[in-house]
Amino acid sequence: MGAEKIWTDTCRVVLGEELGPLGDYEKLLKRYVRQSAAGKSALSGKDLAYCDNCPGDAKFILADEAADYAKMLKGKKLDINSIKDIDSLVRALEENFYYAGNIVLGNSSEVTNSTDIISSSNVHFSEDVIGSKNVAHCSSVRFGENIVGTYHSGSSKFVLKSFRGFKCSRLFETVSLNFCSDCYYTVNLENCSNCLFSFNLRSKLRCIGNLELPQDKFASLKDKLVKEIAGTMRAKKTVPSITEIVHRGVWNE
Amino acid sequence: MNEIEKAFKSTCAVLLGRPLKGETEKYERWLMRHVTGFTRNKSQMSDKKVYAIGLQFYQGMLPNLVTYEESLKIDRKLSPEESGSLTLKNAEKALSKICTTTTETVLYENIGSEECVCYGPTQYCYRGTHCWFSKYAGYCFWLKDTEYIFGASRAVECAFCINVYNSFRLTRCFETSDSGSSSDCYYCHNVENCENCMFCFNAKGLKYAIGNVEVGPESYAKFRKMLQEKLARDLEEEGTCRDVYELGTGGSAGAKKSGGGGKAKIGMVKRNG
Repeated sequence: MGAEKIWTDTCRVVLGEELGPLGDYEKLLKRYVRQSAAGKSALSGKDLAYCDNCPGDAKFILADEAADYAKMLKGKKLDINSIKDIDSLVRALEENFYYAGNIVLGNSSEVTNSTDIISSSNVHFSEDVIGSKNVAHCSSVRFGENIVGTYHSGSSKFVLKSFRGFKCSRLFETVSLNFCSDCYYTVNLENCSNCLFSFNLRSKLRCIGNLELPQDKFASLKDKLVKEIAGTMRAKKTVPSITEIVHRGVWNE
Repeated sequence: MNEIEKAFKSTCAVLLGRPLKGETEKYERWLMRHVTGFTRNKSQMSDKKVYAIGLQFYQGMLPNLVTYEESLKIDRKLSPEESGSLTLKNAEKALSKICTTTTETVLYENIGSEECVCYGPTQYCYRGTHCWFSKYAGYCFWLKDTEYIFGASRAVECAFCINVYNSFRLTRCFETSDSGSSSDCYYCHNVENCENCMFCFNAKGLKYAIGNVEVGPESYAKFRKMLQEKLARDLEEEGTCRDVYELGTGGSAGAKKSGGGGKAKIGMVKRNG
């Protein structure tokens, strides 16, 4: 499954419809996500992604060039018995230190344009993903499934354009949600379900603007709002950010 | 703090052969080298400080924050008419009086953790950001299921480690990055299933290895002792030591990055408001 299908499936579940090609939304999806640095392999010249803790002037290889790297090292013999101290050891080994890009560890498969991926499958344009599947344009995902355009997500499913969530399902434009489902444009919620444009709630259902609504009224308003979100995305390839909404808030009346 | 001091000393004893002299704060700058810290910002409701992880993402929210405890006391909502007429287009204006919120999160029970942001459940964590299911962790960012760990960033299921990054299932490792399922490693990068290795890069399944060459337990033990003594000395005298991301280069670690998730500053700096 490629990134396109992850995008299509996640939009269908979260927004109720498909929104067109992933490529049209890449800029939007990268908005919250930490980006890896881009470099080239010193062995093959191929492009790679690497963790940006590495210095830009370091030498790099693709992680799957390790065999070529090992062959290269075989030609450089080190007489360990002649090394007297650690500084001499490091100097002797200096030329051998090639950092890796596109690192994939554990039992992983179908990983493209990503680095620091561990025991995950179907991961694209992402970094720092562990124990997850179907992830695209993300950073720092743990044990997630169908996560797109999101930074910091733990044990969640079908999350789109969110920041920091734990044990959640079906989220869009949310920040700091724990044990929630079906939430859109919300911040700081816990144990909530079906909440839109709401803030600082605990154990609430069917809220819009922090106001709890009866089932039938809520259903029609939610439907209208989610359709507007999807329509705006399709037309403009962008939507307002939840952080912009918070930024423009006024505490004092 | 006393528990964290004891934990740091224990971890150093395991990794360096002996505890380091002085308080843990003496080593803060070294420990925070590749760790995202937090900023202290003004609360809208009081004189209290609101902690926010030092990520670019939060910058937009900083002017409109309260503490975690204060956020739970806010009781503002739209009227039925306002919620009925809410649209995505008018949301910014319509929500302006109810959207004051917090960047702090506390989950489950926590014992003895101090100056942490977004954490839980934890025991005796100190100056950690995004510390989950961890204990005896100090100066760390984005941990899960870890213990006795300091100066780490993006580590999962690690124990008795100092300055490990982007790694999974490391035990007793020091200045090791982008690695998994390894133990007793020093200055290693992109290694997997390795034990007792130092200065090994891009390797799997090595034991008693130096620079990717297996040298055997006796020779390895000699160099390990040499390395431990040097590290302890450098840290006590200068408060720092070699960086795993600076081996073999003349430049300083940390390439430029783009995107909303980049770290704003190292350490607890930058007061806003």
